[in-house]
Amino acid sequence: MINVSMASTILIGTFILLLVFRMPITFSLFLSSVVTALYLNIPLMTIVQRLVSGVNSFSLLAIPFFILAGEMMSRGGISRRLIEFSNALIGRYRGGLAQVNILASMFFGGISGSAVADVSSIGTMMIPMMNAKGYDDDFSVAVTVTSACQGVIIPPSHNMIIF
Amino acid sequence: MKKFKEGLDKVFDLVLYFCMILVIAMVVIVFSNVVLRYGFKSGLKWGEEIPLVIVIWFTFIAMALGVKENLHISITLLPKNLPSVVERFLRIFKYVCEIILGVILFYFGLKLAQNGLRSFLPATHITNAVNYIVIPINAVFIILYASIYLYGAITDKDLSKISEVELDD
Repeated sequence: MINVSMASTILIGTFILLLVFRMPITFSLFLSSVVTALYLNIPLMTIVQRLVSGVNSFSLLAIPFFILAGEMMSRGGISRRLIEFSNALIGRYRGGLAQVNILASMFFGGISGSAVADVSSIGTMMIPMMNAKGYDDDFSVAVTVTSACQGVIIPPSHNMIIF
Repeated sequence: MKKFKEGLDKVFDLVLYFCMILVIAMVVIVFSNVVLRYGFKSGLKWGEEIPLVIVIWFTFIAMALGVKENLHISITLLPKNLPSVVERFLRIFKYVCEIILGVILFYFGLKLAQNGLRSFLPATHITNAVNYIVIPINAVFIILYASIYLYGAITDKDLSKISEVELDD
């Protein structure tokens, strides 16, 4: 006898249990659906097949291209120009360099959509610059990291494609 | 065991290089397809199929890479400094689960690939099995790496060296 509420309890329960036991999230998702499929008598092959067809979509191609674009931008000097542009916009205000850092990350993250590329290109230039102007090490690193993560949220980014 | 891991690393490096070449090929194919479509009003008819196969390939290889380097993100709800027995149990549990997962992927991936042999991709007429054959390949690496780490976790012998990157937060 198959009970739907029991099945969903098993699905969510095993997922949370595995998460608590420090399983990687991807494998928790996979194993909890395997357990549920066993309970519901769904052939496991369907899960593996759906795994492939989930990846098999043309719009997912944009993700490697976004990352590639981010790498190219960080190597190609566009980050320096973005910093100069943001400096021209808001550099004259109080705490200017920190704001410049945030704005440059917004631009960069908006275009490339990769937080790692953002930190490695903007951060390597901005953090020494901020240090030279007398900001704390901790403060400048914190500003760079948080603004890099936030820049990815702005729409033209590869995280939006996944959703 | 250490020698075994070194050999496995070498084989896996070859697979990774192969994937890098695939990614470059994908970039070239998609780019030239766009140029052909907008510049010359004629696209490659296999310009969508081959990149899709490549995406599947490197996604699954990346999954094995994640197991090798412990890159998969996990949540640390439990406190960080647990007694070492619990810590060890969690580690062993994780690797056992990964091995189970690898076995499932291997068995059903192989079956899917066998099924796929009968159908063909529409434009290139390559057998559909190219989409699925990467799953057993990926599963073999997942099983092997997880068993190496499991061995390390059970014997607890220079664990830091066996799993160099232990991402715990």
